[in-house]
Amino acid sequence: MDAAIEARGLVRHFGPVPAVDGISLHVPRGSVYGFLGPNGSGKTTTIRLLLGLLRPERGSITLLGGSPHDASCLAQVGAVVERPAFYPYLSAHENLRLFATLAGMPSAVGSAAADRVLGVVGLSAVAGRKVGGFSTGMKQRLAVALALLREPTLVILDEPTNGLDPAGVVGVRDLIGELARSGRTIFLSTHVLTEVEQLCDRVAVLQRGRLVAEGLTRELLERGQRLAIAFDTGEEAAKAARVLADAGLAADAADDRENTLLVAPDRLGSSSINRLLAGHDLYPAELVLRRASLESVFLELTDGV
Amino acid sequence: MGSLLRADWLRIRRRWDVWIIVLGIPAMALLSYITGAISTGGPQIQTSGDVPPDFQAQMAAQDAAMRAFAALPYQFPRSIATMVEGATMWLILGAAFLAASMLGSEFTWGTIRNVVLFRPDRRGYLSARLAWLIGLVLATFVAVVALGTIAPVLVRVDPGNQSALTDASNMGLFPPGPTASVGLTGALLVAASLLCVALAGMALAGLAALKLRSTASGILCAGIYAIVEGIAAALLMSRATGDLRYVPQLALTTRLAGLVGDAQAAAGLSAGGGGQTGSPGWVALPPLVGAAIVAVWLLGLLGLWFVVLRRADIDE
Repeated sequence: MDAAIEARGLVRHFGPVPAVDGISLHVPRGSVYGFLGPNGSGKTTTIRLLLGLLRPERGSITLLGGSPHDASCLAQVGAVVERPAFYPYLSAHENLRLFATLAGMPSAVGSAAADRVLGVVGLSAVAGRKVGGFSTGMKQRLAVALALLREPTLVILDEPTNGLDPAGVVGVRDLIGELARSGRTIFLSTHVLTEVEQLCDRVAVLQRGRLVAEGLTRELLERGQRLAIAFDTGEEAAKAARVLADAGLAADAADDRENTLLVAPDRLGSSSINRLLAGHDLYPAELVLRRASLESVFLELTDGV
Repeated sequence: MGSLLRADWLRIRRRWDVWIIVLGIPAMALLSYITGAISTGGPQIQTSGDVPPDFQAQMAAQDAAMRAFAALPYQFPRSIATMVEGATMWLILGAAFLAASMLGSEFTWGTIRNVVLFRPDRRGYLSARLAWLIGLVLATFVAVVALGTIAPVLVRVDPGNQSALTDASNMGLFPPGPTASVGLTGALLVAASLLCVALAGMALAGLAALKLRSTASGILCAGIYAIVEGIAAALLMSRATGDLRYVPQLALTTRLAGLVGDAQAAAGLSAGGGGQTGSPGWVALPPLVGAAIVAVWLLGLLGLWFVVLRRADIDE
């Protein structure tokens, strides 16, 4: 599939510390791509590299088939990067109009575009107010408006719901869904895992500057699911653990229930495991597939950081 | 470039600090001029007690000469140089603040990130910003020069008895300075040399603000640099011998002082040299060579603006 973002072997240090250490990304056009990682894992640095704000020491980046330093390429990209940044002495509308002018839009077109995006993020009522007096949530919404100003085909959002109240979070989430449905590519970096679970069809997980997992969200969740095998007695559970270990399956005792083992069913299916246990006169009292949440997969991948 | 300039106008028109500088400096210069002009009206020499009549006459003649001398700076066209000289410190500070503020605040607010995303051509962005800065400094300067042109009409200062200035009996009475009128070209030359000083302040503070990514740090760093360089050059000047004497003459502060001094000498406002000519170890350079060194400094500092921004990581 044609890539909206193609990055290969990105490396960037700050001092001796590698902030980004050999990251490669392939974000297909039209996808909603979740970018996860604990604080300090290198998410924002990666986004800055993708946008050409930082220069990589090694590696290459292609955005929509062009260079991130190419004006015509960046014209198709809208981005919210970390905290919102605006001229505090200008109104919301003036700030947007200024950037529209900077982008080469004629005055009337820029003004109309500013009106449109202010409406999209629900800031029309305060369009004439100076940004210096805006709350964090209002600034965040204005940042989303700025990202949409040029009707981009690729939208890169770094923690877009930061500082928003619950209604604002839902509003931005709905907006992302709407953008995705309109065929735009969304690259979403967030801490809100339910957001990723609901919106993203692909996910990458970052840990200490390295990609530790990448793929379809569905596959990642499947990787995290466990088969819970409950027995009537502790002896049966211990014997079953040995049988499973001999078959090359790691079985962990469940924290939340006695005499219960948790097994990753990726190598053998649940029916095969059941057959294996029955072959050793072990009959589980209960055998349930526990679906993983993205949170549990994320914590497992990032060692609970 | 047109859209960059228009975008900058949208920013600048709402910045009250910019307009305080652009309008405030000419106002301060005019106020300073009027204060000086009014003070020339009073008696220059005062006597008390019984004074013999012949001595009184001599004192009156000297007072007339002193009044004529004090009125000289307020006669057109020298009034232009007087007005600009009165505003020089404000012009330097204003130009330095404008540059540091208009460049440094982009980093403080983080807006440089949006600018680069909407206009990745950093050279174009900086060119537009530089054009505006030079335009604002020039507008302020032109306003000061214009005020210097019309001030003699607004505040009339009696030129007094000009022939008393050349009277042999008054020789040695006046402080160093011209006792003859200054031409328009000379007055404009002095004003232009002071404009160069303001532009150098702008270039230095702008570079420091870009490098340190902060308005306050930019101004502070530029000020410290100018002081340290001035001290180091003066120290070197007093100790260097042979060809080494020319090294401190290349320093920015030394050369700017030399440029103003050369302009004053060419205008007839001073006997020659001016600035630090009295300093031990001062070497007079041909005026054109001095001006060329200042030009190299200015172009070098402004060129470094582009180098710094081109290589900068935008991590705001």
